[in-house]
Amino acid sequence: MNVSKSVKVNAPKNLVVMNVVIIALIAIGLIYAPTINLTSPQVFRAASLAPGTEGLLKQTAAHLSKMQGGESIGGFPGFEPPDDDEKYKQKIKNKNYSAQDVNDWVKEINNFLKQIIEKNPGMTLEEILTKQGLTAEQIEKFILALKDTELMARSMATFGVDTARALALRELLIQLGVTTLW
Amino acid sequence: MVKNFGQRSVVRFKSDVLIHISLDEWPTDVPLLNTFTLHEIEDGVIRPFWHIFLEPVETVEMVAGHFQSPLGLEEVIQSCDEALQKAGWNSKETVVAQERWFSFRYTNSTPNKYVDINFRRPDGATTTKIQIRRVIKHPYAPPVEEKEESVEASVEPALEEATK
Repeated sequence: MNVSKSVKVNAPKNLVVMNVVIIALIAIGLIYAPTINLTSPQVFRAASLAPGTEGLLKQTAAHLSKMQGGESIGGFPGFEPPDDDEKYKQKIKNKNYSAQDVNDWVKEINNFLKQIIEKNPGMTLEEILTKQGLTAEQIEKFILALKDTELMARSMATFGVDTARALALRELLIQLGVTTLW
Repeated sequence: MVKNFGQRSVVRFKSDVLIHISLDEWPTDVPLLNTFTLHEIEDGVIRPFWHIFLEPVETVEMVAGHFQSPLGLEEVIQSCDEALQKAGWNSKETVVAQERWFSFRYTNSTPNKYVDINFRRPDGATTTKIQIRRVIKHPYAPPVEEKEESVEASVEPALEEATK
């Protein structure tokens, strides 16, 4: 029997065939890759938000909620002050916060919004919230809460809210397509 | 009429300026209820202000104030609506209408002018918070510079005449 001999002869030939197939597949991949790359970012943006966006939206909503008496913003949970701090609870409910509170909250909101913009370039806030699954009413409230916060920060500039910080919030809102601030 | 120039706080942002006004300078075409007081925060009361934005094709003038009232949410909304309608703001659009949060936009026959009013009374709050903004947009066209040739052309004949 010449099985071993035939295997020995065929092995190099098989290797060559395999190599040719591999090279052909790579070539096909290279030919179509540019086409795939050109369309995939758009396809990606249309399909889903960048990872981490939901968490950032939730954090933004929590801080907006502090400015809105603890109300739920955009369907995200409202801010709950600690049960044993009655003074803080009343402060939130009655919107009797201080300029320092607003300074701190706006700083956080700016931070979250910057990251949302970086993660989802070119998208308006309305588009982002729509992709997140918010209803039209929830989107309206979210945007209104942001505009209200920006106006409050402006209004409290004389109490010590950082003007640059208030302006930064405004610039971020403009970047996100929230163009009317009046 | 704005008075007491030089005795008020002015905040400059970018291409806009915010000037605090006193309550008696509040625009008379946007009535305030007798129960309204200025929104009080930990640091004091938030005074109303006049904010002017210099935009490329318009100058936007906004007067805004933050108020509070001991009246219930529905009562404040109803009373404000009656007062604004009486003052001629006869067209109303609902922007937000939720359980404890309402926002409306009022307009009248004057174009580029409106009043936005937001009412909030979170669960457990002791006052209703009201935020009012009256906005007027004034069209703006940047002045056109005179061309240098036209100035020279008008001077040349006179120069020629003088040097003859």
